[in-house]
Amino acid sequence: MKANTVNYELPVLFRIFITFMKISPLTFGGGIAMIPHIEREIVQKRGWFAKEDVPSIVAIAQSAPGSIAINASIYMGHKVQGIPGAIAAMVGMLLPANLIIIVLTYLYVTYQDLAIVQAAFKGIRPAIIGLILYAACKIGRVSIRDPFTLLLFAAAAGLLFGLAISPVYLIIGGGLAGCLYSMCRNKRS
Amino acid sequence: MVLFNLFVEFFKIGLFGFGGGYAMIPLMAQAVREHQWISQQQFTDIIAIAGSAPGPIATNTALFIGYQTSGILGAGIAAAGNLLPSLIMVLLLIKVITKNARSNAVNHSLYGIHPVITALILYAGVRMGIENDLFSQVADYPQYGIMALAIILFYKKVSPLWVIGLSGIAGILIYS
Repeated sequence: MKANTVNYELPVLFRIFITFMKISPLTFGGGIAMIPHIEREIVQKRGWFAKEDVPSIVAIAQSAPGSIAINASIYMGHKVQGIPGAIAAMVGMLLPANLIIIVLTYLYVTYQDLAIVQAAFKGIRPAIIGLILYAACKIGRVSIRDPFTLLLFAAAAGLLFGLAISPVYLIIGGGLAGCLYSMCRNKRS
Repeated sequence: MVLFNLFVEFFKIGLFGFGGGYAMIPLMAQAVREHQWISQQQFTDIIAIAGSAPGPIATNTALFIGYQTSGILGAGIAAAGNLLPSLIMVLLLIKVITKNARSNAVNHSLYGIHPVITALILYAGVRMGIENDLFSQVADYPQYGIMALAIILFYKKVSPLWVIGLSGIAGILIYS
């Protein structure tokens, strides 16, 4: 891993920016999809990281809240060039995607009342609900792995569907429950 | 005031969005419902648009909601609010965590948070279905068919761009 240099060099920041801008359009289908591209661009081409560092990039990106692709870029940018590097990487990651979405949004807002666009979205909406249900299954498969996590899932679902409790309290509750349960389990063993 | 609300809500969404972009959809749906920034149908549509474009779904959605409520400034503020927690938390984690391992406290919290997030996303999906007249008496069979096919295609690892494009064509053929 390359050590941080004391004075921030603009050319390096620019290189970070460009590198992440190139990875950004390849993040189709969620942040994890970009891992192979990180290995090629950041590890092999630039040599900013060793191959062994990739798992810790993924671990940090998944531990922090927010988009995995963004978190990973912040982490890598920081390692290369401190906080300015983190920001350069983050902005590079965002810019191409945001330009595309601004164009698409403009088209949507302009043409959303056309009959053909309405019909298209009537077909797209069920697909999106399918996508979200599928995302729930995918994250459920790795996160519900024992009776305790199944219980937490059932309790959260019950509270949501029955009482419409704010998601924020449930997330805080889940985190606390996870900590308490692990502490008790460690004491027993 | 709207700008302040946008910033605070999206900061909160960013802060509690453990588990990536999809984990933030339920939080966004809740905020949109409370503040009535856009209609639930528009919210579903923009997730479709964000999902078929590259890049983080959450930031793309934040940009749209911010723009719809208060123009370019709103878009910038919503996106900045959404990103700031990521920036702060990753930098904090770098300070706290040593090279390869996650700290125990983080691991234990995430162990409890992820099942809750699963329930949240499931709930968001069902609720969005209800608000878009799926799972209700108005729904018709083609819509269920598209949903089922979409799930199968996502399971088969077909790119979201294709699935959304095809379901759009299906919609045009069926409903126009």
